[in-house]
Amino acid sequence: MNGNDRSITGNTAHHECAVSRRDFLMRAGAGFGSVALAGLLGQEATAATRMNPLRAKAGHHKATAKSVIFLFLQGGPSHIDMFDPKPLLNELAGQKLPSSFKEPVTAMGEQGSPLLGSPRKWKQHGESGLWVSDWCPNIARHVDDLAVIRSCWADGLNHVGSVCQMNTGSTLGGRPSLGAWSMYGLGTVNENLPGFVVLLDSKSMPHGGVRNWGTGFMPATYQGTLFQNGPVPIPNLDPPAGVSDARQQMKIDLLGSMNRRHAQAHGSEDELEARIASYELAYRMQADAPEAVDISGESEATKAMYGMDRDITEPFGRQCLLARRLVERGVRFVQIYSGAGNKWDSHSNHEKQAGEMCEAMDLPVAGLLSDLKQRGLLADTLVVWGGEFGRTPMSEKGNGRDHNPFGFTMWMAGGGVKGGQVIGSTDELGLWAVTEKAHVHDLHASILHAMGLDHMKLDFKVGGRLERPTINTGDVVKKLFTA
Amino acid sequence: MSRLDLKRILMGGAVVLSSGLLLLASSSEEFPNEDEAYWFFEPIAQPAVPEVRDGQWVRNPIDAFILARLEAKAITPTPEAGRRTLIRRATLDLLGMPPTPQQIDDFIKDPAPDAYEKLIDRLLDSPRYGEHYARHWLDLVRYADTDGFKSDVLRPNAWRYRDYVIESFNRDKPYARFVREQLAGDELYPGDDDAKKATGYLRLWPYEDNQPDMGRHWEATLDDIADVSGDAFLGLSMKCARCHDHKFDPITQRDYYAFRAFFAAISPWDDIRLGDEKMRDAYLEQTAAWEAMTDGIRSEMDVVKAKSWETQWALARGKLPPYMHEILDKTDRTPYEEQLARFGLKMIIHRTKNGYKNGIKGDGKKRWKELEQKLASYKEYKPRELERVAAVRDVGGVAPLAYVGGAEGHQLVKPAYLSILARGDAKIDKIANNAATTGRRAALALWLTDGENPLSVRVIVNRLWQWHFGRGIVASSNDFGRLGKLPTHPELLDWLSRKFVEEGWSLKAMHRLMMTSAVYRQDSVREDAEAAEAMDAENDLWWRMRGRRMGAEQLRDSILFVSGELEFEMGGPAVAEEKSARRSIYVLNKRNKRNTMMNAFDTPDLHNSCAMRDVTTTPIQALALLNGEWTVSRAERFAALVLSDEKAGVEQRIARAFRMALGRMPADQDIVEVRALLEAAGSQKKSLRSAWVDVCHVLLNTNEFIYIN
Repeated sequence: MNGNDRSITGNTAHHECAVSRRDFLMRAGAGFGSVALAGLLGQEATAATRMNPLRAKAGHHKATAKSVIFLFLQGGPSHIDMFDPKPLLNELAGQKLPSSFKEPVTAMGEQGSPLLGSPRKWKQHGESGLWVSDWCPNIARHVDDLAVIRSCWADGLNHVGSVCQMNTGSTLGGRPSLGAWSMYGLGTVNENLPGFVVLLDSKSMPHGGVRNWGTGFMPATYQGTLFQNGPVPIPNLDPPAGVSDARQQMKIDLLGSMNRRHAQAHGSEDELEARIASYELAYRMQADAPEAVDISGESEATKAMYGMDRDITEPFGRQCLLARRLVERGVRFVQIYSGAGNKWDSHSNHEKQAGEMCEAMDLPVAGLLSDLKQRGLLADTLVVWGGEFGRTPMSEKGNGRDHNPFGFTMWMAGGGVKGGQVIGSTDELGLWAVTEKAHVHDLHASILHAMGLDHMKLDFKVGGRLERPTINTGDVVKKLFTA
Repeated sequence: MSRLDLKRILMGGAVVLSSGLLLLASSSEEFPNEDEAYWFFEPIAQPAVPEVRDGQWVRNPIDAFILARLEAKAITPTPEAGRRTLIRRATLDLLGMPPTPQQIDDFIKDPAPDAYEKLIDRLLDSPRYGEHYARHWLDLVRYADTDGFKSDVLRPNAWRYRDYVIESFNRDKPYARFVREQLAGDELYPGDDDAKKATGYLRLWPYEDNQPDMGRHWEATLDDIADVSGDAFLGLSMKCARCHDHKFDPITQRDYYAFRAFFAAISPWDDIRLGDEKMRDAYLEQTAAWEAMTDGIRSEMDVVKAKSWETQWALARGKLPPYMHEILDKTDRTPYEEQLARFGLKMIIHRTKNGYKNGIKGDGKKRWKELEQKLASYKEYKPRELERVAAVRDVGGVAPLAYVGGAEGHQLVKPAYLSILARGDAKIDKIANNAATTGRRAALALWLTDGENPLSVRVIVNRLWQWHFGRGIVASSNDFGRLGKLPTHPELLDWLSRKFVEEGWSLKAMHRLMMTSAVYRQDSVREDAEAAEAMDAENDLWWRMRGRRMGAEQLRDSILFVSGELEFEMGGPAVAEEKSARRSIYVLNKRNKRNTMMNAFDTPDLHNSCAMRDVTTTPIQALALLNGEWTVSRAERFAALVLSDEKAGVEQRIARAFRMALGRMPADQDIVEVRALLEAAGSQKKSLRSAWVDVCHVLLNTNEFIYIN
C-alpha cells in the first residue's frame, strides 16, 4: 500500500468512488493487469474493452439465472384475490377487523372499515396443487414452475415510496435500482444493447418516474434504459432527420479522424480512446436495437400465445414478447410494468378494476412462461412477479381495498427457482405476513443470489460509506432454490 | 488486515477504531489515543514553506510545497502550458464557458509580464463566475427545484436560494458568513434578506405531500439534513453512525444524534417575506386598503366556498393516522407535537387549496365564477406580493426532546460537537430579542466558522483545490475519515487553510492564489510522461495538470456560446433545458426526471450530497450529441454564423469555425478533411449548407471540444 493511500480497507478490497476521470476508467475496468494478460494470450485489448465498466464480469458464485424479467404490477395487486386464499375473509365479510388482528395505519386513513369479501373461485392446480383464483386461469397452468411467496412485506405506505423500495431497497430516493446493481456487479454480455431495459405497457410512467431505474449515488453508466414503443426504441438512435446514411458516415469519419489525431497529440490517453469507442458502440446500437424490437418475424401463433390478438391483452403481451427477445439477445435485466401509473390501485370498485387488470396481465404472463420454456430459456431466466405491495382485506370506500405493505404475495419462476411451492404465509385474513416473512431486502438478496451475486459482498463506496444493495440487511430466501 | 478479517469484523458488529485495535460495538465514550491522533481531528498546523532547489520555478508558496515533494522523487514539473491552453483552461474553470477567439488573441498578444494575472482578475470579476461556481455548491447541498417523491411538485421559490448562492460567489461573500447564513441566518442576522434566502438551505430535502405518517417523514427529514450537513460542512460521512457507532471513525451513534439535535427544533416556513420594514409596512397598508374595498366580495366567496372547503379539509385531515388526529385536536402541544402538527397542517392546507374549487357545485359554481371576476376587477389596487422564500424557523424557544435513535429512542441527547473534539454538550446561547428560537443552529454555525475548527476550514479549502485541479488534496472530499483518502500534501492543506482564514475567508483570494501558481499553469501533456508515470502513476504529486472532460453545464453552455445563442440574463425562476438558451445553472433541476442530455453527462442525482461528479463515457451521450435534435439545431446556428460573412472563402470559413469551437486555427490535415466533406456535398446551395452544418456539428462532438487541457 503506498503511503498516500492508507484507507483502512485498503485500495483493492472495495470499489471506490471515482476521484477523477482517469481513476474512474482505471477502476471501472480491470486496469493494466488485464491488458498484460490479454497481451500474453494474444488477445486484443483496446482501451475501450479494458475500461468498459459494463464488460461482462464473473459474479461471486455460480449463477442460476443469466437474466431477470421483473414483471412489476404497479399500484398493488390484490394477493388475497389471486394467490393467497382466505376463507375466513368471506365468513367475516361486512364485519370489522376482529380485535385479535392489529389494525395498521392505512394509506387512505380509513379506520375501522368492514372487511370486504372476495367472490373468487379458487382451485388447486398442477401436480403441486397450488391454489390460484379464477382471476389468473392462465398463470395457473404454470404453478409447478412457480415459487409463491405469500409472506412478503415492505416499509412504504404509499406508492412512490413503495415502488421506490421495490426497485432500490429504500422508500427514499437516491439509491441505485436492483437492475443497476446487477449491471455494476455483472456487466452485460451484449454490448450493442443496453444491459438493463425497462418496458411500459402504456404511456404512463410508474410513480417516481425514471428514478426507479436510476443509479442514485452510482455512475449513470449502470442505469436502465426505457425503451419507447415503435421501431426506434432508444432516443436519438437514428441520424437526425434529413441526414442520409452516407452523410452520417462522412460525419463519423471526420469525427473519428479528428479524435484520433487529437488522441495521438495527447499521448493516447485512455479516456479519449474510450470516448472514441463510445461513438463506435452507439453506431452498432443503431443497427442492433431496432432489430431487437422488430417483432414482424414472430409467428402469429407466438403472438397469440402472448395475447397480442386481443385488445385487452395486447399492450402487456407485446412487452412480454419484447422481454423474451431481449433476454434471448443477452440483456441482463428487463423490467416490465403492468398498469404503470397506478392502474392496479383499486381503492374503490375493486372488483371491476382489479378484475380487468388481471385479465390484461394473466395471459401475457402465461405466454411468456410458455415461450421461455419451449425455447429452453426459462432454466436460466428468473421471472419475478409482483407489485409494490398488496391490498387490505378491509374495505375502503365500501367496495375498494387499501394498500397493504404488511403482507402480500410475490412469485418467482425459472432461473434456478424450485417451482410448485408456497413459501410463508399471512394471517387468516391476509393482512399481516406471519411465517417465514420475506422483506423486500430478502427478495432482492434472493434475486441477486440467483444472478450469482452476494448481496453482502456487492458494495460500492459513497464518500466513506460502503453501500450495499440491501442496505446491509436481508437474507436469501433459501427455500426458493432448495426446497 | 486481510479482507476476510475485515468482513468478519463488519458482520460481527465489532468495531475497528484503528488497525489492530478492536472494540465491541457499543456506545463507548472513550476513544483510543490513536483516534485522537488521527490527522483530521488535530488542530490546523502552521507549517513553514519548504525549501526547494529550483527556486526559479516557484511562483508562490503552493509551488514550494508541491516542488519539494517532486524534488524528493526526482520528478521535474511539466513546463507551463501555452497561452492558448491557459486561457481556455482558466476561462472554462472560472466561468464554465470558453473564451472568444478575440479574447484568445488579445491574451496571446498581451506583452505585459502579468498578462496571466490580469486574465484571472478579469475572469473573477465576471458575473459568469458566480453562475459557474454556484453549481459546485448546489451539488453539495443536493439543490433541486422540485419536491421529489410522487408528484415531484415544483418549488416556486427555491430559485431564490440558487440566486443567493450565485450572488454570494460573485460578491466574494466570506465563507464564514456564507455558512452562518445558511445554517442560522434567522438567528444570527434577523431581518437580513440574504440570510432569509440562505436558510433555504434547510429546506432542500425531498418532501412527500402524500405521506400521512408525519412522524416518520419528519424523522427521515432530520436524518437527511444531518447527513447532508455532515457531508457538506464537516467532510465526514456521518450516516454510518445513524444505526451504530461508526466502525472506522470516532463518531458514536450518540454523536450522530447529538449533531442532529442542532436541527431538532426547526419547522418549515413557506411564507417568509423579503424586503425591509418600510416595504413591509407599505405592503400591509395597501393590502388593508384592498381588503376594505373587496370585503363584501370576499365575504360572499367565503360563504360560497365554505361547504367545499370544509369537505376537502375533512378529507385531507382524514388521511392522517389516529396519532396525528390526537395531536391536531390538542390545544397544549409539546414542541415535538407542534412540529408534527405544523407538518400535518401543511399537507392539509395544500390538499384543501388544490381541491376546493372543484368541489363547489350547483348554483354556487356559477356564483363563484362571477365573484372571482368581480374580485379580479380590483386587481390594480392589490399590491404586488412581497417576494417570498421557503425556509425554516425554530418551532419555539424550547426544542423538542431528542433521543439517540431518533423519535423512537429512549436515551435523551442534547446538541453536542463530535465527542472526539469536544467533551460534553454544546453551550447554546439564547438569541437576543428572539425568544421564539433556540439558538442551536447559531451555535453550530459559529463553531464551524471559528477559524480553529480543524474540519470545516480544511474541507472547503480542499474543495477549492479539487474544483481547480480536478482532484482534492484529500481525494475523498466528502469524507476525510478513515474510509476516505489521506491528504497527498497535508502541510499544504494546512498552510492553505491558515491562509484562507487570514485572508478573511475569501474564496476569490484562494482562486487567485491557486490559479496563479506554477502548479496550475503546468501543461497537461508532456513528451516524457512515462518516466514520471513510472514514479507516480496517479499523478498524486502534481507533476502535470490533469485534463478534464467538461461537466454537463460547461458542455451545454459552451455549445450555446459557440452557436452564438447563450443568453446572459441572470436569476429568476428555473428554465427548460432544451427550450431556453440561458445558462445551465438556471435549468430546472427536477428530482424525478433524469433523462435529458445534461443528465446523460452526469449531473448529480439531487438526493445525495455530491462532492465530485462522476465522469462516465456512454453511447447514450454519443447518441445525444450526434443525433439529438437540440445539438443539431445548435450546429445549424453555429453554421449560420460561420457562413454569415459572404465574402469569406472556404478556408477562411473553416478557420472561423475552428477558432470559434476549438480556439485554434485548423491544421493542414484538418483543412484537407473538412474540404473533402464539403466537396462531397456537391455544388448545390442547399446540400452545401447542410455540409457546413455537418462540419460544425462534428466540431461540437470532438474530444478536443469537450476536453479541457
